[in-house]
Amino acid sequence: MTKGNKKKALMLLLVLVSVFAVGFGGFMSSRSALADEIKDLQTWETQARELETWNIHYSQAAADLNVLTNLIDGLLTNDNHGNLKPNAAKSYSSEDGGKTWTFVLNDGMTWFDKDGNVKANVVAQDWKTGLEWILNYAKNDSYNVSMPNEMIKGAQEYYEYTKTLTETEGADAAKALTVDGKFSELVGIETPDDKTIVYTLVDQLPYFPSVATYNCLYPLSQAMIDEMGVDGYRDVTWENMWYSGPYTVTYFVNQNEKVLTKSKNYWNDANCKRFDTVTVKMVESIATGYQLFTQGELDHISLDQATTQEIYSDPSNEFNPYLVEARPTKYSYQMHLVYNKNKEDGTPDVNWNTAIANENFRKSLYYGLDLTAYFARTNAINPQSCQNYCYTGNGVAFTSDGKDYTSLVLKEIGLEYDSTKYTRFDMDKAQEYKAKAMEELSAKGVTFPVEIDYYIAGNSTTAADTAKVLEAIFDQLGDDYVKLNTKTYISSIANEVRKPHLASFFINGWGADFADPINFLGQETYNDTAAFYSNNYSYINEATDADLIADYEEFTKLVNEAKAITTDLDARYAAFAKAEACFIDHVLAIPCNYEVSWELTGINNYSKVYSMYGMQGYRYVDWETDKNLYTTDAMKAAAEAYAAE
Amino acid sequence: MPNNDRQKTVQEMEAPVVNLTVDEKSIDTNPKKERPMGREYPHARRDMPEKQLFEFAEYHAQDAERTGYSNYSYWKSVWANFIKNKPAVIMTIVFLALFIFTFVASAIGKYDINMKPDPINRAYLPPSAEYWFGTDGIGRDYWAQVWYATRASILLAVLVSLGQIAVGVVIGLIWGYVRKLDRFFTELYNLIDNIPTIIYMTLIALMIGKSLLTMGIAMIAFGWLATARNVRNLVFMYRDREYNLASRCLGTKLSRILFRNIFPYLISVIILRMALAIPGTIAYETTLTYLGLMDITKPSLGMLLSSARAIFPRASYTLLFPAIIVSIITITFYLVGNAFSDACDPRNHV
Amino acid sequence: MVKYILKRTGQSILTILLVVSIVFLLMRLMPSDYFFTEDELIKFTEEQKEDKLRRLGLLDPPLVQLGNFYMNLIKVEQVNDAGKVVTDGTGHLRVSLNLGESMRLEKGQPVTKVIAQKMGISMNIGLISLAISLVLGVVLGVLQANFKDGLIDQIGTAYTVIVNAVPHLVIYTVIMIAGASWFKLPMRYSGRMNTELSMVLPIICLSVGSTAGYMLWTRRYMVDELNKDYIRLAKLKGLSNTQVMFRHVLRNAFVPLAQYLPYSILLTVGGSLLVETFFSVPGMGPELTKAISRYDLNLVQGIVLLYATMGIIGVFLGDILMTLIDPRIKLTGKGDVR
Repeated sequence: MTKGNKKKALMLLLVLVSVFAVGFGGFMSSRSALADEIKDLQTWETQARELETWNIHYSQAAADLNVLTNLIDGLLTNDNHGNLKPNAAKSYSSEDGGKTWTFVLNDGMTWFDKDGNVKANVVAQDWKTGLEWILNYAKNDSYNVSMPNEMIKGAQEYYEYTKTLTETEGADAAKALTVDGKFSELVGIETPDDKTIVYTLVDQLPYFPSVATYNCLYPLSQAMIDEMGVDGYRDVTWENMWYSGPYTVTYFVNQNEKVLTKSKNYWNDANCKRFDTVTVKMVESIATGYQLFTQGELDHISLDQATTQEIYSDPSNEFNPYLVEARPTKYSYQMHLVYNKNKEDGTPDVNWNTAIANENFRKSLYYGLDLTAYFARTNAINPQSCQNYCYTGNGVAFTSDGKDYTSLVLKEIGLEYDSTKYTRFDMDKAQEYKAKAMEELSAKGVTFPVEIDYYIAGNSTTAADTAKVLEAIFDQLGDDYVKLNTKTYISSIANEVRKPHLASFFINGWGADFADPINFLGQETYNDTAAFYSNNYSYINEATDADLIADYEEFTKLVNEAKAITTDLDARYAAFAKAEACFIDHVLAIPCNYEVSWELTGINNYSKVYSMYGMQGYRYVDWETDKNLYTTDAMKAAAEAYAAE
Repeated sequence: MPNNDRQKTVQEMEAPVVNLTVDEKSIDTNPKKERPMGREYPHARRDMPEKQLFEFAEYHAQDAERTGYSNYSYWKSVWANFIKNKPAVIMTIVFLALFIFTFVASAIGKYDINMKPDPINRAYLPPSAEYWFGTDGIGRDYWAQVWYATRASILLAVLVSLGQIAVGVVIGLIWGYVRKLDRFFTELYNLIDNIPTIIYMTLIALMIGKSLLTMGIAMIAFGWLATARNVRNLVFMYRDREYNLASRCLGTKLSRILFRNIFPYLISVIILRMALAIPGTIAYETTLTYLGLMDITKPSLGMLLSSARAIFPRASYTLLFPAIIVSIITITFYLVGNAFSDACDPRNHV
Repeated sequence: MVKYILKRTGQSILTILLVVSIVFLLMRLMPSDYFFTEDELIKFTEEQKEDKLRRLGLLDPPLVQLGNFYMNLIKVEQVNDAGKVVTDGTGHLRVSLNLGESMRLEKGQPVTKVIAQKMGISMNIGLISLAISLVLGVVLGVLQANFKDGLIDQIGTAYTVIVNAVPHLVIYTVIMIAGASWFKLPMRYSGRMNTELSMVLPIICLSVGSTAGYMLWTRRYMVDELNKDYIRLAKLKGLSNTQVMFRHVLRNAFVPLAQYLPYSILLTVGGSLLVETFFSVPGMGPELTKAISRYDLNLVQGIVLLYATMGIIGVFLGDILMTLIDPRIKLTGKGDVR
């Protein structure tokens, strides 16, 4: 070290500062005004959501299905209002109130390879082959079997048969099975001719057609299996798969990019509008995505909180006039309360379990949590767009006069959506319930403040900040009453938190698989092995408090009554609304929010397939686009036109 | 990046391997025995009978000191050398001031770390008279966050590097000195070094937890390798130097050889290692936060950096402040480490 | 020498096997639910999950799984000229490495194929950046040493200190944003369009740090060497500065750098976690963390095998390379520690 060092040290700091000056520089946009409609769509996905399999039957992950839904046509799809729309099937009907369903296929559909060479015709038998594949234990590893098993006659038996066969005679024996033989004998699917498919169900299921949008009822060509073998199809790739949908994949590099090109031989070309190509770019985060967007490399981008606020608060920002509020995602978020929680040492957390079993305690949370600040984390501009007061998601089911099912529930529980204030919040009521709860619970030996454990992902600093906001929201009830502790898990909430029963509550979204409230309410019923949340989140079946169980039993009874009504849909929905209101009145879970964020987009959100259930939401078909981005006003106009339709 | 340790390996390969057998009987094992004071017999050797000159000498504690005596004090020389290096002294003061300031800062700040969030009205306010470092995404004062994080990160880094150095030096000394264990430690080293650390870290976090204490211990458990290797190579180099041979011939005890003859050479390397380990630990903490293996419910520099990066270039001050602090810490330790390790090297003491 | 190489090869293979076995068993300590996505955890019953894991052999005792792994490691099959597997004895033998199939990230694809694809891209970027930083770093380091304490030296030192001081996360972010907005460079890797151009920013990011490293060490080794007696002698003898610098100093100073070179070259297969994540480069960098967190055990196995092999071979080659360029060094089998 010599005397030059002082200068050196100074210089270091100077250079350091200039390095950061880069960060302060303004960032110019290179987006330019060009022609109107987008011909080659450039869209994005974050890296964690890369596709893992090209086998549409073998996937249960949204990341896969969002791509695959464009490559193969199912029987039905959805339109931009969420109604069912014919796709491969031109018509469907049931003569006996929903026990058997007949689908009639369109003409001229073909299977083709990625270069557009026609391989075979799409025929009714392909749906049989597809269902056999799904139900065959050796072929599909039980992926997607739950819905067919519950709904289609004989499906469960055939699945069990293949399972036994695999176990006794080995996987090869089961893999050798085809639609002929045992499958035709047992399973309720018939193909009287090449164009007709008849499903026979276990019961009258009025919502069955909505299942026909889902991949468990997707077709599969026997000729393709003959070509590549059973194992070959299981590990099929974009290069050797057979396509029948609006797009074929022409380029794919894992974790980087995929290009979907308009299919050459698409049967429905005349009746649908498609992009020439759709390029899905994998981005590290939406912040990087925004940079790409400003470079003109993406046609739409969701905005994070910092960007939204920056653009919104600065009228001179070039994107300020283009801020548009996205439509809600298909998930309805709830605070799922846990009724049998353990402490970290594995012993029951008696304090929490006793407190949460008390209805007054739950009601004090229900009325006393003002979630506005929580919503602001997803939607900083209009936090109240995120409010959610029901358990079932919006847009899942509609009454015969076109009203959303959830409006029935809202009427029952006496709440209304209001874009200006969080109507459920009522601190006076909350304090009343708090006083009652403290009195009753102190008598039972509960110590206050009640410790509430909330778990977040350990690598998400965003979630850590959101948790801080939640802590403050719970704090409003009084620090003598409840205390929220934020804890983290590393990568699997199921494994690290749910299984050992460590959390006091989860905030979790549920998206429907088909169009009926049972898909939501059926997850919460008491003493029901098929009820997902009861068995995996709330652990209500392990609770001991008599009052709590009585509430749950009442709710379960109402759900079962509603489920039995299969002919009169209006009556069915009314009955479900009663059950749901009972669930919410007793605060067995606390309805929380919808995800409504802000974005910049060249796509008319109201022209896209909008389905609150299933997997059709990402079909790049019939989209209206504008290369110059939609302004806030233009999107508002589009929304109004849409509402009027 | 090339690594200077490799050079040590080169030198060590050239070092001759000398096997020394010492006649145990010739070493007097009772140093307390009454001896004539060496200084009183300055010409003792000249007066020895010729025969005695070619035999092992008995060990005399005071005689052993005799030739080494001067008013030289090791640490005084280190200090004298160190304060000659002005930039390093200045940076040390800056760093100490920074560290002390982390305690003061929270006191003089207008808001404390537990400020109530308000994401609607206060998110990402730029630095101002009210919020000196601006606010974060949920409207908390960033000043409080940054200084809290700085203190936490420095403490963690210092403790972890101390632990790594301590474990590394002990293992390195044994590894270098006990020939029989060389094969074992070499294999152990290769084994641990060739398994990506993220595998250990993930498993530890999963199975034991990821409290600061656990992760700190885990960082120590897998961070001693470099130091140990370095120390081992140095011990290899010096243990068979002529003056040590001589010392051993004179019957000096093992511990004395290790701590008086070899250790001074190690100090400079240890200091340098330590200086690199502190910023290294902060960088590592950033990576671990990115991978979700750190506790993110309390702010640390790693956490602030990775969350600020995600929104950069918007609210660029959220990245700037922690980055500057990390840079200051790193530069300080780089300069101070170099200066101190130069000062510690006895060859530079004249 | 031959004996030494043989012995060292044996030891290396042993270490690699040990590393792979330990990782194999360690990974089995992880809870198997990581295998499933949250989507699947919602939709699968316990029984279905167990079926799935059993089918993949993940429920066997870990030692049995390890045995299976080694039993199937080398695949010998008969193939005909078209590359199709035949069993009638007409084809010729083909021996290949079988690391199993990816269980999650690219379901059903052979691990060797997945790694080969990703490796190529990482190496491409890594080698270019290595070449750039080696040339730049050594040249600048020589200049620094030559003009010690001059302006160049000070700027160079400032650069190395800053690069090491500012967290890489921050440097990469700044390079990415600056490159994209000022120079209009693509901020995403693309194998389809403008591939070369899209590699510019990742290469810059990778080079920034390693250039600083090569500068630092070249300078340091050169300065050390310059202080030696033989250099003074050479100068006294009247050799020109250039001759001294390049014929003597650089050659000697390069030895320790060269020893590290094969290791650096081989480890470019590993890519860089941060750079590849930031620029969406479909390379090896993020693969290990992703494979661990998604319980893709076969892939983890393959990657660890690759890293360990490359690392050990790299050190081995480095030692041999060093004896070739510096005849004074003899390999004795002692001290072969990285």
